[in-house]
Amino acid sequence: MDPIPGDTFDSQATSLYAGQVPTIGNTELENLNGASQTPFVKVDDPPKFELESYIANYTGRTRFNRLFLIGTCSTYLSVEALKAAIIEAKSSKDVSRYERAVRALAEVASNEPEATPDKEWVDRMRKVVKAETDRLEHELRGYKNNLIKESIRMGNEDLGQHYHQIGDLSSASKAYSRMRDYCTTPTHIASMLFKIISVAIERGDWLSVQSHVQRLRNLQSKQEEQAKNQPKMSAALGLSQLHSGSYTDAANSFLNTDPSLGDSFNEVLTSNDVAVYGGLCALASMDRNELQRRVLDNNSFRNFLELEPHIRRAISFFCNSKFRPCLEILESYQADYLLDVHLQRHVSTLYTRIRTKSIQQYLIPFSRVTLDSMSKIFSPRAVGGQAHPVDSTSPFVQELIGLIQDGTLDARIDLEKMVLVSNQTDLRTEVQEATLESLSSFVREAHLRVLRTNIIRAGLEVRVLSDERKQGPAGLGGKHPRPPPGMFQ
Amino acid sequence: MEELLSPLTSVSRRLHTSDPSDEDYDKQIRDLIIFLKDPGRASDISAVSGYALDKLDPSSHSLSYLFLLLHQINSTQFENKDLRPFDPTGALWPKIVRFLTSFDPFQIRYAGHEWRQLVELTVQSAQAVSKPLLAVPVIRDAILRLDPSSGVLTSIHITFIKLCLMSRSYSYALPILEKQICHFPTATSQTYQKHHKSILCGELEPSITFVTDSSGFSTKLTYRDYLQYFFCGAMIYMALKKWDKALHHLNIVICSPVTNAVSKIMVEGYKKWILVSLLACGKPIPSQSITSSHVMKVYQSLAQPYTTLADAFGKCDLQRLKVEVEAALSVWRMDNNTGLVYQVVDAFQKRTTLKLGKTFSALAVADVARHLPGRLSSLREVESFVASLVMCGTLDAVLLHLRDYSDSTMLRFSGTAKSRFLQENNVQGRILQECQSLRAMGKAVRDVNRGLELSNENFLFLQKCLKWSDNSGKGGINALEQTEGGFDLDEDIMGDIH
Repeated sequence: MDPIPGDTFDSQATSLYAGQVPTIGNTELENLNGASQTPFVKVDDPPKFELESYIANYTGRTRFNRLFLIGTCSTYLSVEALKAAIIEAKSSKDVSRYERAVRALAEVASNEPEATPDKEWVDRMRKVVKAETDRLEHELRGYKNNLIKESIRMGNEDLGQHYHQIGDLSSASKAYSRMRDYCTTPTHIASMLFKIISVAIERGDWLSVQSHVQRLRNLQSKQEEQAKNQPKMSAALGLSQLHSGSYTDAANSFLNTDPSLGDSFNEVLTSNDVAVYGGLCALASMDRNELQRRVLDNNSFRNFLELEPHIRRAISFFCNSKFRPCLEILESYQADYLLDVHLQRHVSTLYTRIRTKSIQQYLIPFSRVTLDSMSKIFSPRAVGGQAHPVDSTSPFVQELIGLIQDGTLDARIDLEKMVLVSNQTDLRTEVQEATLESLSSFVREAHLRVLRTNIIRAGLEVRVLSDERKQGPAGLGGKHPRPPPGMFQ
Repeated sequence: MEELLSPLTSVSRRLHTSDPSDEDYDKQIRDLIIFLKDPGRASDISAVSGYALDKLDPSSHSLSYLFLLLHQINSTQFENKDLRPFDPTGALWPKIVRFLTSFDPFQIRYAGHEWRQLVELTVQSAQAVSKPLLAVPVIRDAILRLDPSSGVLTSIHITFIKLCLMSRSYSYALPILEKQICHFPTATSQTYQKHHKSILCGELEPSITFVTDSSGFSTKLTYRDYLQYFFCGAMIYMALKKWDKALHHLNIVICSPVTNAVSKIMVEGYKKWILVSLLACGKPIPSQSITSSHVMKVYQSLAQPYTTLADAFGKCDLQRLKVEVEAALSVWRMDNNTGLVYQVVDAFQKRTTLKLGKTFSALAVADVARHLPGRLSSLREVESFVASLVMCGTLDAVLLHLRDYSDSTMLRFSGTAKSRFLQENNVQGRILQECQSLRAMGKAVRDVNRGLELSNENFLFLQKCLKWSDNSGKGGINALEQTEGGFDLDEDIMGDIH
């Protein structure tokens, strides 16, 4: 009879949450689309993709999230994307999403017929959702009373699915988590974990993604099951690592993703995305040898790269030290990546890293480089536009100064001859300096400690002295009576 | 008169250490001192003192000369019916100076009280006529003459340092300050020293044997005295802008061992330490690990404005630095640190210029001006500021005029292109210097070791060990042999317990 009180409590809790659906849904989606909130990106350039074919690659709730992001961020596609988002939302049961999309569209184009909310649909859908929630919870209660494990599991699963559909993500993940006790086979557990992972990805709860992927990995199941789960697991793991900013780990996870991923994970990301994410992370975090060995010569990842040939080209240009074309490719696709729901926040960081790495790589063979030739490669636009492209105030030189100051570049700028001089290290002098420095610091430290020993031995530690010493200033000699013996041992 | 002179000249400077032998010489000196101190002869001696002072050579018959001088001074003060110190313009002054700059250190080791009395009188008389500078070189020579290593702190050291500060004769103090003080007059209550009377006139005796708390070379010291010594030493180095040395001295002050109270001197030292560390290293540095945490807490709570100032300096934020300086003006003034604080602000400009050398190998003065925020407004000012840095050697760079005069001046930092030969020479010199101080340090460590081995505490400990080994049935002789080396001892203790 134990589960029953817990069950009543649960139902109360969920119904309580059900009342809060809109607010919770909002906060979570904001969390996910954090970039659209904090550094609100506005993309003016038209992206290279076509919206319809792009969105056709995805299934499930990510379709709306992606459309909504494009609609709010791209000035070029906003109306089209938001309209598609409204249609998407209307076809689902998530009222709050619909309302948000309508509001966003009203901001952009208030004249559109879609910009006025469909009150009747909203009310109807609310009622439907409410009835459905009640029904599912009632059913679940029934299953629990009957104590049939499999039914309880399925009841929870249905409930979770329902919550997920209506956008109540925290209730959804709770419902899915409750399935845990009723899972009987590894397959059940795996499917439950995948459901939790996909909810967590939508919530932007990357820690929980990582921990659940870990659990999946430790799950003991058949060989073929593992093989089937592996691509999704590593893709999810890579995604969470990308979001937590550890690009090297993310690159590794994406590189390990098996090409059998195909379109099985379309509710989160496609194979094209794996190629782009993995390629960019690798480009930002690996050196040339590693890129050649682990990315370009990687047979399984080649399958992904073939989907996005420009990434492949960018990487091979980088490996061949042709930085200009590499950066050009990346720049031309920047608009696309800024409109990607997962990549948006990381594009600028990744690009800066790639750029810094290219500058570093470029400088390796030279002992001095003219700023002119460098700026031709790394800031060609400035060369065309300004009278003095490599003036000390030009952004490119400022960038170099910043890199030198934070220690990334070991070089110095000569503004008279307009060259970048790499620093020659004189090892002999350095060693001599270091030795002398350590010697003198040793002598000082030793002196401090010897003094300390002697002070303690002579009983001269700082202490509250007896009153007679206060009669006059110390150290002025024999005028004052000597302190009585026995003050020190 | 003649019969008095002959005992006075009985002890003269030894030209060779073996003639007469240490023991005989020791005995002669002790006899002479008994003769000189004999109260029955005091009137006779003072009667001849005037005549004898002219006859005696202070470098040879130092002891007699010292006693006669003191007699003479006493009688002059007695005649004039005032106890004021004598006048440095008087007839006695040259004699005192002659004595203090040429006395025989081996003889004087026996007359610490009298020597100190004379030195103090000298100081007081120079101060009485407000000419402390007169006494500074004399006393410095006297200290170094008595103890060339100057490794033991005496009250005379402290008097001297204060005198230097007062007379602003900072560089006079350097010969003394540069000797590393490692010891303090030890208490003679230690049992070992009672049994072992070392011969004071031995040439190889370390200074710690004759400067003890009963020898009279120093008054009884307290923690205030040595803190003051190092604090004043640091102030002298600060006045000379030798920041490294000042930092070391302040380190000594703030790392002093404490029982429960923290001295005000230490707190003041910590304040100055923060400022000096900025001046010496150009960034806030972590404090020495020796300082215990509760002392650190006291410092931090009492030196709040200083830590925030250092923080602003470390973050290269001139605006904040200036705000901090303005905000706590009264604090700086109260602590008498205003000058240092202003130097810190100047040092910030200097640091920024020096840092440019890491980023640029050459740049126009106009660019320098762009990187130097703050009060230097015109290009000309910046140029003269940079030029002054180059001239005083802080900045290893050259200023060039470009061929077309329209453009401004170029500042070119010279890289590592120094002549190899010069550099090697320089390094060699520094190595030698470090070698010397390392050797001095090693000697000090050995001395401390020896002192600790012969201390009462160690004997007590050994006694305890002896008892342990007795209890466990082993022979006591064994334990006595162990006193030679600490390591064997440790092992044996463990062996007995198991």
